[in-house]
Amino acid sequence: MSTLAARRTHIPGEPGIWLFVLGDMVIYAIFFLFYAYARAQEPAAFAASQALLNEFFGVANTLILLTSSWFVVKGVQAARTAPGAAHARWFKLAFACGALFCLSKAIEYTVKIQAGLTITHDGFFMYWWLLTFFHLSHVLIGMTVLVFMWRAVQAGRTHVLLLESGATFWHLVDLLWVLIFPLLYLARSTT
Amino acid sequence: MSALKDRVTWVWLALLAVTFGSWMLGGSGDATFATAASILMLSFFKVRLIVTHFMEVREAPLGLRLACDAWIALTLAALLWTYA
Repeated sequence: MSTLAARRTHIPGEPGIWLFVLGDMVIYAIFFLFYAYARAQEPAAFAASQALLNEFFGVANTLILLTSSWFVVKGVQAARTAPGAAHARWFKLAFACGALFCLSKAIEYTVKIQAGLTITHDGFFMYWWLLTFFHLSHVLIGMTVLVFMWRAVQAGRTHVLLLESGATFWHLVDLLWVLIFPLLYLARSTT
Repeated sequence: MSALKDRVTWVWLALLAVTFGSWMLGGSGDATFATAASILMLSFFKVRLIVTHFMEVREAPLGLRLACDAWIALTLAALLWTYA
């Protein structure tokens, strides 16, 4: 193997956060596979229940979280190149996106409950409620982390490692929803 | 603001575009394996963009890059298998 100039690599954040992130990804993958297996047992029934979902919620939530991740990336970039209390605004913007997501979820959950589409309604909705609620708990934790991040930046305690760790967790929250939305709202195959 | 010269901004725009694309595909109403598979593959493509560019795994050591790609490949493959 060539020993020419070693490639300088970098892992953002504390290594521990990556252990957690990868572990969480494995747990979710297993959860997704349980859902997919259940769906494969009764594709027509699942497709019929899926059709009761409002895709606008799903799309809106995806756009909200993708944008929040962009804000977080910009915030970390700013903290690295020119540390300053002003950069806290990026994390506040990301937090605002998280709050919007929660509001959207609250509305969607209310509509579903009023329609009787609760967690015990059928197999599909059991998975829908469990997956989205489990994800929502991650969003709430992420929002708490964002608060810590912006307060640290405002107080001039810009430890880039802390910001990178929080950012990594937030991107996890984003990427999980990026999979949940198509899986639960869009992909149906009855052939 | 030089935001548009920024790679991550282009990645964000690409993510938005692919999101709309998947939505259109999903809205087509046809419940075929081909459509479902396309939607799933597009979503994992988005995940890879987030992991590579937002989470900066493109600059990470080989081990982490392989772990992330393995998760993407295996999860996608297993899901596709259940949809087939």
